[in-house]
Amino acid sequence: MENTPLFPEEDELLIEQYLAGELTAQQYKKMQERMATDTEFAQYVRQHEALDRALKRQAQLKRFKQYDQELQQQNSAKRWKIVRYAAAATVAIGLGLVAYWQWHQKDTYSQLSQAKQAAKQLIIIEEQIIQPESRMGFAGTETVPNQIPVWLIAAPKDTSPAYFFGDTLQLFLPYSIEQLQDSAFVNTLQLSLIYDRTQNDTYFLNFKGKRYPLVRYNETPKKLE
Amino acid sequence: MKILSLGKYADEQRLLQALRQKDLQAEAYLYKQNKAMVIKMVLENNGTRAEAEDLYQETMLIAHDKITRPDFELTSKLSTFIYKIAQNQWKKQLRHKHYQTHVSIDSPVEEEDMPKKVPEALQYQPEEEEMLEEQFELLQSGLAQLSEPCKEMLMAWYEHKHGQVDELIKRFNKKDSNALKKAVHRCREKLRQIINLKTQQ
Repeated sequence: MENTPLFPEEDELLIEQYLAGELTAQQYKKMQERMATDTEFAQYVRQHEALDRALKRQAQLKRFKQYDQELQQQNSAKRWKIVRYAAAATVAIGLGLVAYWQWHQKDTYSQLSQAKQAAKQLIIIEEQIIQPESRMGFAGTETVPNQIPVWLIAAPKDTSPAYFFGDTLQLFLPYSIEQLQDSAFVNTLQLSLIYDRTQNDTYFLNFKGKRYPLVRYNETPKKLE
Repeated sequence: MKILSLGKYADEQRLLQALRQKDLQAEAYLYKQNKAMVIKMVLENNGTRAEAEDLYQETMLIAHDKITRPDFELTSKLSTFIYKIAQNQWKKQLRHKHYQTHVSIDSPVEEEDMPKKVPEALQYQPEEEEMLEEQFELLQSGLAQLSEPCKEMLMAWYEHKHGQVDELIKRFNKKDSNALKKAVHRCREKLRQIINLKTQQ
């Protein structure tokens, strides 16, 4: 649609400047005066003004939609951030619970170990203490009979009898706990202890008629099971 | 376009200046900063989410139009100014729709805080919305009949002209900004003629 312009080029520019608010006060006044007298020009300008407003409005609404989308993205990003923090917090709490649970489990294992260790047999055996003669002016030794409580603990079969001093003396013997809990079986072992203070405070275990100097038990109790 | 940090527009006069210079970042900032406040006001006063969204867009169109006028004087905070426009618009819509509910919009602003020009500028006409709808439809059908180069030029001018005139001069191969403005005018004139023909039919 190629039509002859209704108004000269200068007017086209003038109208655009008017719509953009770029006219000087003097130019603006002149424009108003012309519109007041030239109805055709005034109508032409008013129609352009209305179209300009409608087109601006349409463009602005389009931009507003874009801003809304950006806001939504920002909000969902914020929400996602919160979700991530919540997830991180959940993981941290979870790890804490796992750690606590494991710690608790460890305690349980420990208790179980103790429980298993508790299955060890407590017996009282005879002990002879060999010590220098306590009476003044006489050389020699004396033997003092005594009784001592000991824990009998099952140790691997290939180990030698050993001891460990806790609150109570623990004797590690190469027998199963069931055997050690059998008092008839324990009697056959003929266990007795000698604490010889004349030989560097050494413990000897009489075991099935043989005497064993007791060595300190080095294995952890856990490995006994 | 990200929400700009408050620092850039901490001074509202600077924000106002940027808006007058048709800075789209400033426009986006203003839009995003005030939306939640207006949406909340509508939702708390018997409005739906869709109504709140529409009202906010209308409010921002009015606010933007007022703010960019050379004679506009800001006598309150911009958010107060926007809130008051939204409040007035919503009250008028409620009245128009014969809502019987008592509207007690608790304004976070005081009356004397408001620019005096606003209520006068907001002469709400019930038929205004319908008129705008009609205008919009007419505009769309006019644009549909416009030649592609002209449509492209008008779209570019109205969507991107702010602060990007040089880019448009290059894009549409014009000598200078005056030549570009004349070209825009001619395209709009073609649209005017199409619409006039339609309304006469």
